[in-house]
Amino acid sequence: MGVDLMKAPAEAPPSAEEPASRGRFLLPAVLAVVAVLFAGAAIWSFLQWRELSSGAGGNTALADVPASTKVSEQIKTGLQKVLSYDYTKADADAQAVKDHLTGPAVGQYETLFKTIKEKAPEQKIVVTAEVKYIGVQQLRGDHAELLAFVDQRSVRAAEGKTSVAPAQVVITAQQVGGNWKIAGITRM
Amino acid sequence: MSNADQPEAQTDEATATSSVQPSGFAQRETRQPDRKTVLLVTSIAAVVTFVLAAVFGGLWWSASADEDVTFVRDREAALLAGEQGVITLNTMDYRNVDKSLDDWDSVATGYLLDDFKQGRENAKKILAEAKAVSSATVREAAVTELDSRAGKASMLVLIDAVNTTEKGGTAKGARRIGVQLTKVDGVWKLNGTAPVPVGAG
Repeated sequence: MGVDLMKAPAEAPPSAEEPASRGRFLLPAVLAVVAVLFAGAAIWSFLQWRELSSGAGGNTALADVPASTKVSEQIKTGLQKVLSYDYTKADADAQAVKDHLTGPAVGQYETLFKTIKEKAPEQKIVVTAEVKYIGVQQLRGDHAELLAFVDQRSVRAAEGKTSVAPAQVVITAQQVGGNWKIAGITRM
Repeated sequence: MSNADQPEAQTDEATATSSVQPSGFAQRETRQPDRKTVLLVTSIAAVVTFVLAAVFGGLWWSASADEDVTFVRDREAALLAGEQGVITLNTMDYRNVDKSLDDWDSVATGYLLDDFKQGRENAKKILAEAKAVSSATVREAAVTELDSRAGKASMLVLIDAVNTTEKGGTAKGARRIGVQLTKVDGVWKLNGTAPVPVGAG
């Protein structure tokens, strides 16, 4: 009995407060629901945005038209000189070629040049490279990667032989002082 | 990135947000209901999530309106379709010619598809007689032109091809190919392929 009496007053206030507190927490409840909805919208937008921008990866090949055209043309010119050879004006050519090279490609070219230089005069070798197609694979600021399909026409005047050989190369390029230079050539 | 992350992430967020409520109600049982705290917490949550939604929504909108971003996506899609298309067109198994030729048709459009359809019976006969088996892998590829609006693209593909015929045996070699692509119903398809010849041209 005493217990009941003790309980009754304790229970009474909350039950009396019940409707009032429901009203008091209506606004927070609405805010919580709104927060959940905004959170959902934020996550959805974030995922969509990431999906959209991930494809780009900073590669502006073709998207940046002037830069893509510039790198294609300058590397095409450089590549044709690098992959060409004329025994009659080898030294002058070698000097000119160096303007189109940078970094490791300078060393690569010198190694290649050394072996040709030994054979060329007696065989009277003239190699003319023609870039048939060139495409920019990657373009990020001052760095680029290109794929080129090249034909190399070799004339060995001493033997009277002419041959054409295909060459497929991937070029890494770097822009130095406003001009694109070949930093590396990989024959595929 | 994948849609699979999404429900998970949302669930996390939902439980994180709802966990605020039980602690709020727990307080109410022990002490007087602290309406101010609950109101403050939920208000902050609503404002913060609103700002996040606005920021990411803005980024999403600007990315989808950014022609560079859509162009780059198109370029990547064309590159992938071109690579896979060239592999498909260099894949043949005489023991299942119909399947191989169906695959060819599935990546082709325009003149190329017309050619395949017209030459199908003839090709079937020739390939079956030769007992041709071939496969290819892409070594390098580059998109050389892309008109996003017109849905036209050109690309270069360098493949390693392996061709086997009963008489000729197995021949392996690198092949350089020029590819023309057209976008059909949002999908890039090949409407022309040609080997890049050595010498002439």
